[in-house]
Amino acid sequence: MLESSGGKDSLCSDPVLVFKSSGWVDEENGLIRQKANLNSGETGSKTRKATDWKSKLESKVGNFLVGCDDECKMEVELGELTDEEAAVILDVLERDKELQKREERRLCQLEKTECDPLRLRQLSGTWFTEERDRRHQRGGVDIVHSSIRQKRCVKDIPLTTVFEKQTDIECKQTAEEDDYDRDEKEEEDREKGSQTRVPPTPRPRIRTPLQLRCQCVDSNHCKDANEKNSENKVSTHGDVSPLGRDVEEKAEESISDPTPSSLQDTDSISILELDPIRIGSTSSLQYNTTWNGSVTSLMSVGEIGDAVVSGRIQFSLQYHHHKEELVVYVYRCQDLAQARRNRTNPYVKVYLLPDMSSQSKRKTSVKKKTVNPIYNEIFTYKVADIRGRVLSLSVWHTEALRANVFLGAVEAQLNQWDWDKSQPCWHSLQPRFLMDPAMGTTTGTILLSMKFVPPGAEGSGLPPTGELHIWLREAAVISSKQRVPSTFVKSCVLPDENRSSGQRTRVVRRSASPVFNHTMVYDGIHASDLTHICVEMTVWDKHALAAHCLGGVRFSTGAGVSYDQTVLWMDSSEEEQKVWMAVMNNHNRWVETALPLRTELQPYT
Amino acid sequence: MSDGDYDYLIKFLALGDSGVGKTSFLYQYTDGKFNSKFITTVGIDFREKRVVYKSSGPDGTAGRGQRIHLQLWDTAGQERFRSLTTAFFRDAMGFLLLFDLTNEQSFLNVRNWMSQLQMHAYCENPDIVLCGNKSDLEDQRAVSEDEARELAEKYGIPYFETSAASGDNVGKAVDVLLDLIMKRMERCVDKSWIPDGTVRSNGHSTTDITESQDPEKGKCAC
Repeated sequence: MLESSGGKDSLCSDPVLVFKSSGWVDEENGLIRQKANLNSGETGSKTRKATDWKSKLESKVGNFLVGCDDECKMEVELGELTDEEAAVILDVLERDKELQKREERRLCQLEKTECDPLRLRQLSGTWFTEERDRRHQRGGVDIVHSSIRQKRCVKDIPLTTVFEKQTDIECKQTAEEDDYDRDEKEEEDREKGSQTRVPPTPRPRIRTPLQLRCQCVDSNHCKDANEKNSENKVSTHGDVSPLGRDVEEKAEESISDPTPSSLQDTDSISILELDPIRIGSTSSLQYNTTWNGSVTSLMSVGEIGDAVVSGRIQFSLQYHHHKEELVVYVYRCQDLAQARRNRTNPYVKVYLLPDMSSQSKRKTSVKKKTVNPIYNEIFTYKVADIRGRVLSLSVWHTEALRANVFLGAVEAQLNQWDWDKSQPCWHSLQPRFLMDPAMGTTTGTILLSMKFVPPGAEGSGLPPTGELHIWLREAAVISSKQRVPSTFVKSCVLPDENRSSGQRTRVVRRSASPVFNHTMVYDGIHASDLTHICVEMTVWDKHALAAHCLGGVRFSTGAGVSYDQTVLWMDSSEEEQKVWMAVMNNHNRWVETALPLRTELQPYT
Repeated sequence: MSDGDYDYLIKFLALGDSGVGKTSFLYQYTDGKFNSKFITTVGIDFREKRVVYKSSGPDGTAGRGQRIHLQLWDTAGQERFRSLTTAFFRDAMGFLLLFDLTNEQSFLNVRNWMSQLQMHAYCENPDIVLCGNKSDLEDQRAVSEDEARELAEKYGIPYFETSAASGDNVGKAVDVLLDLIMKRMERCVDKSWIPDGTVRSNGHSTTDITESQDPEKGKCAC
């Protein structure tokens, strides 16, 4: 471990892992991917932070040794090098190669002229190389050279023809960088209601204006959608993709074009069809069945002849309460399916559901041509409350000019996660992902506390009547690339004949994890009423004109009978019932819960 | 310089914390110049120099001048290049371990660098010269000569207070390192084992650089 953590450039004991982090909110932690400021006068401060962070992480993941050898370590670290740096280093190695060549020529001559074997050993440096070879398998220059070359492997496609007027190096850069962005765009094209398939074209490395990008079949509609989209454009912060490609990706986001009934988020499903045209009225709690239908029909992502999902993924999770941080360590995958033409270039994509916006998306690097990729990558999420969250890890195959192929996924219900297990564990990849709609819990989570205060419980005859307090803390709501909702919550106590019991919070704008911290109080309630009533909390997405219900919860006994009347709205789930029982049986005590939002709440009548 | 017109190709490597002056040191040595602007080394670099080495044998007679082509590897001190630079350790015959006399942390890290060398160099006890650089900045000195010398003695390696800016002791440090290598080479080839504890002609014993005493390490394994 670190001998001295304070000063500049603390030297760690042999670095085992060099981590990529993404999703750090503050700028400074993106430092690991910062391009080297070659003329920077700063020496210690930036690098020290990398060390501190790394060592803290090492101790937290329990010094989990990957078991890489030197070259493996190097490969991981070289992933951090910018292309410019790699080029500079390769230049140096080229110079060394020249020097070596001259030396070899000299030795050739020497062997002919020098008779004394001992002297030859001296002059040729064999005394040194023999000793070195006893200890090390390969020369240092060799290792670094091949590692860098591997990192900058050029694609098969002759990109020089596509990207005109670019140098070779730039081409190589483009090839790698555009990989991610191109496949994202292609997914969108492909999923456009499976209409005319517009053949994807490699995107040149320039920012194209909005109009050019639009490849919609219906150009009129597209324009409208684009305009609307520019209103709803999400400005995300923080690095969300590895290797500093966030700039490319952001450009991608701002010029993508949505159409209502199609998938927007690329190789994942946009559960919430954020169609401004389809408006839910404020009293409607039912969901549009076409919505559900379109999701299920698009469950199988990828082209016909999709890979049969196989294999498993190894990862570990840690949650640090004090830092409110979820750490996802993606280690590796094994036995992945062959995606296409016996070739698999897998990467792993991670979402912290229900947030599916770019803020939640994390991607590993792509490992070329392997069904057993090793990633060793760490992603972090700043999340205050992980209850009710689901972590989705999906594996995808990518190649140039083609859509991604889904290779399998796992979802981790964080409520049920064993946080004591810090070692990475294997999970078999499932053929579908993203919260099967059949399970009915898709749009988010709500965190709140409730208590019933009987009359006089607070002393001095207060409160005069029984009160129900609902302390709404926060929610986590489904978000996609195109839309991060602006949410508010409504509460209501049923039965509510004259619709007078509604209360609502303010709108929290554009947040996948809105914090409300709002307490609703209902008075005039007797303890005996509790078995007859139902507290309903619904979460709404506020659009320009009206609001769209994302789902809700209902707390009741679930008996279905209220004041001797059969009612439909006492349809609490088991968990909701449990919470309500706890409220009923624990007067004047907060009962805290985090529950998934239900979208199939029965209508009042 | 670009032809094979030399007798030995000797490779050295400069290492130490970021900003101690490795690049400047080598630049001063090869070109006799100093640039005060700080430009951090990207991973790795090297410079070359042709020198003539005259060994001074134990009997005091000067040996024949040997033409040496020196390849001086310059490593980045920055953490982010760490595993890359340590990969190059194994390719060097001798090491210039630099720290900054005006920066105590860089001196404290000498221990770490030494253990890195022991792990990654071509053998467990390579030839090393310790240099306390920036001796010209006397008023900013944070490491005393005594404590640095003490550390060097503990490791059994020579110590020089150098200044890449003024050139003070730069040539001397490299010459001493070269001398160590040449002597080691000669010993190797002679196949005469020098028993441990024998003081070498350049002033220090054959006990190895690490603090643990391992009798095996004194031997040259040719």
